[in-house]
Order: sequence, then structure tokens, then C-alpha cells
Amino acid sequence: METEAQAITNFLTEKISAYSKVPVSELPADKALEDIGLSSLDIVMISGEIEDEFDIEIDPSVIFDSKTINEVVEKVLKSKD
Amino acid sequence: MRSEDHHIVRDMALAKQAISHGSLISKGHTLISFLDEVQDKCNLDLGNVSCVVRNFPFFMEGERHTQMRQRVLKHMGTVASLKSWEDYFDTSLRKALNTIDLDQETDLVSAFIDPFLQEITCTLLGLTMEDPHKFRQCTDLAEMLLDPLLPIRALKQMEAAFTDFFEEILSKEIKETGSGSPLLAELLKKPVPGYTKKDTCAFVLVVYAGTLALRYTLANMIFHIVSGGETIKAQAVSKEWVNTHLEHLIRDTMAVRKVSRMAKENCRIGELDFEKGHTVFIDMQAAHYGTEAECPMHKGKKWDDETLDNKTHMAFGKGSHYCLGANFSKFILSKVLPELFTRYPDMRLVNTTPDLMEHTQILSVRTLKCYMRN
Repeated sequence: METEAQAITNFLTEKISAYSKVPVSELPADKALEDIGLSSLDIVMISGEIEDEFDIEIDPSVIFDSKTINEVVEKVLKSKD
Repeated sequence: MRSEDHHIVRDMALAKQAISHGSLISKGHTLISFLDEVQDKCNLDLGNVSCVVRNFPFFMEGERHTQMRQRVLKHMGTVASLKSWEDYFDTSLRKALNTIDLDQETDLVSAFIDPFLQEITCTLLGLTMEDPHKFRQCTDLAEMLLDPLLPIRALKQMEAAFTDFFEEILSKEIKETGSGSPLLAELLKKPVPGYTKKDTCAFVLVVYAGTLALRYTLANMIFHIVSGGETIKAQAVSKEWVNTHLEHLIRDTMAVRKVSRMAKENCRIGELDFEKGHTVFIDMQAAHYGTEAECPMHKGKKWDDETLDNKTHMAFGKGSHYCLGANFSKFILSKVLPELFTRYPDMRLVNTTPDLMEHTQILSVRTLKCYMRN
């Protein structure tokens, strides 16, 4: 069964892939976000989609200040606690 | 994170160049197109948010900006223009301090700083709403427009709050006061060319939101002085000492964390190359206190003459966007500190660790609990 962390990781990876046009297969959870090249608008849109999907409040700066997908997932999990 | 379209400046010399460099502009234009894109992608109406952004002084450029700036500075931007309000400020200050006079222990932010500054700035600007909570929410949200990464949730809240604000403020008459004409009344009476009534209300709303920086700085400054020890507290009763060291106090307690600019063309500043469209975040805390410094509110306080002489800061910005309320802020700070410390010479902190706001752009104490007497 998929854990909560896996569900968030999968959702986040799909969204980052959709906005950055980088295939999911090239987005491991420990990949440096700075190498993906998301724009400010992408980051805002992704944080909005996370809020809607998981019913939490998460500022775009959380993604902006994170180094990897894993780090974002950890912060999302913390927001849910 | 340093992504494709962002740079972070942490060096003071570079920050000084970047903040007023002709090739780096405010993000107003990009924010408008950003709002358009969000409206399209999320099927939202953000018309009133766009109106506030268009009239946000920090985002404005050119003749329209200059003309409004001149009018505001003439009306309330100089010490001379504030003189007619001085008796009113003094009376309001005494009244605000009277309200905490019987308290043994109080939160100075909620019991004194907030109500005092809200009253005098609302009166000076001519802004009121029936529901003070709604007004506070509206101004807090307007202030958030400075955040370079606005959550969609916040944009929806802004649209609702600004819609209520415009409906109410445009439907009532602004009262004149005994001390002078409030800014909004003055600007509606003789409109600046290019501004509708709604534009003018949006502009004054943002000016009010800008004065929240004074609330943050004042709270930080009181924390800073009270935690500086008895000698410093004793000095702060003197108007002369406060005036002499005001710029240093502002430097050490300014609330701005980051300022963002956008490159309008490819340019080189110092050793850094900026491409057209890139966002530049100026990390004000790192530029002023160094990259290794932790939160300045946690630092051990140094009060030797050498430190006190350090007055170099960019707390009010630089160049054509230099803070419209800078003189107002200094005027008020120089009145509040001596009055407060004269009345409460034994004031001390309940907790020596600052209770800081969780905010990406603002560094300020959220509460300031003090024992007012021995």
C-alpha cells in the first residue's frame, strides 16, 4: 500500500514534470530542484495544487527554499501534522 | 534555491548597487502579467488585486509615479508637513500609554504599539473601515504583495478583501480633522492626473500597509533597547540620545528580510551577470549583518560607541523608491522612545528570547511581553 510520503512524492513529481517538461523518469526524489529550472509561476502553481490536493496551506517559498523533492515532501508532511 | 530565473544578493556593496540600478526594476509589470496568467490558468477574477498592484508605489515607475510621489511628500513626507499634526500625535501617544498605565505586565505590541500606530496613521491618511478586523486583514494582505512568490490562496483572499475595501471606502466621505486634511481627502479633492478614485484609494491603502513596517521596527527597537541593559534604557529617556542614535537603532532593528527586483535587460553588476527577466532577491539581513549572522534579534547586544556610530543602512530603500513614510517613521520613533522609557524606567522583558513572526519577508517580534514596573 502507498504511504502518505510516497503519495505526496508521486503527486509532486508529476506536477514538477508537467510544469518543467522534464520526464518523471528524470526526476528522482533526491534530484536538486535548482537543476530543474522551475519558474516563479511554476512554483506558485505547484504549491497551489499541493494545497488543493492535500488540504493544507503551503507557501511557494517552501518549494523555493527546498533543495530536493524529498525536502519538500518532508515539509508538506510536517504541515499536515 | 537558485533556480533558472533567480539570483540572491547578500553583499552590502552589491545590494546598494542592485537596489537602485537602472536595469533592475520593481516586479510590478511582471506581477501584472503573473496575475493575468494565474487568472487564465485558474479561472479567477483578480481585477481588484491588479488595481492595487498598479498603484503600489514600490512597483511604479515613470511620470505617473513621480507626480503622485511629489504630492504625497509635500503633504506628509517632510518634517515641516508633519508639524501641524504634532500636537495630535503627542496627545494620542499619551492616551495610548495611559491605557497601559495600570498594567503590571503587558504585551506592548497588542496593547500599545498596534492601537497607537493604527489610530494615528489611519487619521493621517484618512482611511477607516467599519470593521477594524476586516481593515487589518486588508492591509496585511496588501503588504503581502511584496512577497515575490504569492500563494494562489492569498490572491483569492486579497481579491475578496480588496473588493470589500473599495466598496466601503468609495461610498463614504473622508472627514477633515483639526490637525489638517488627511491624505486621501486631499488626493480625492485634487486628483493626481492618471488616477481614478479607485486608483487613489488603492494607492493610499498601500501607503498604509507600508506604515506597518514602522510597527515592526518600533517593536523590534523596544525589544532591542530593553534587552540592552539598564544603562541603555536609561539613555533612551533622552530625546537627544534617541535622535543622535536613531539611524543606528533603525539599522539594527529594521524588519525587511528581502527586496526583489527584476532585470529589464541583460546587465552586469559587480561580478554578477543578470539576464533580462531574471528576478534578483536582495537579502537585506545578510547584506547588513553578514551571511553568518543568525537572526539579529538573537545576537548579543553591542552598545559601544563604535557600534552606535554605524548608521549605514538601506531600511528605507534607495533612489526613486525611497520610502515615502521615512520621515514620518523617524518623527514617531523619536517621540515614542523617550516618552515610553521615561514613563517606565523599570520596564523589563518577560522573556528574553524574542517571539518572532513567521514571515518570509518580515523580521519582527510578534509579541513583546514586558513587566512595566519593578
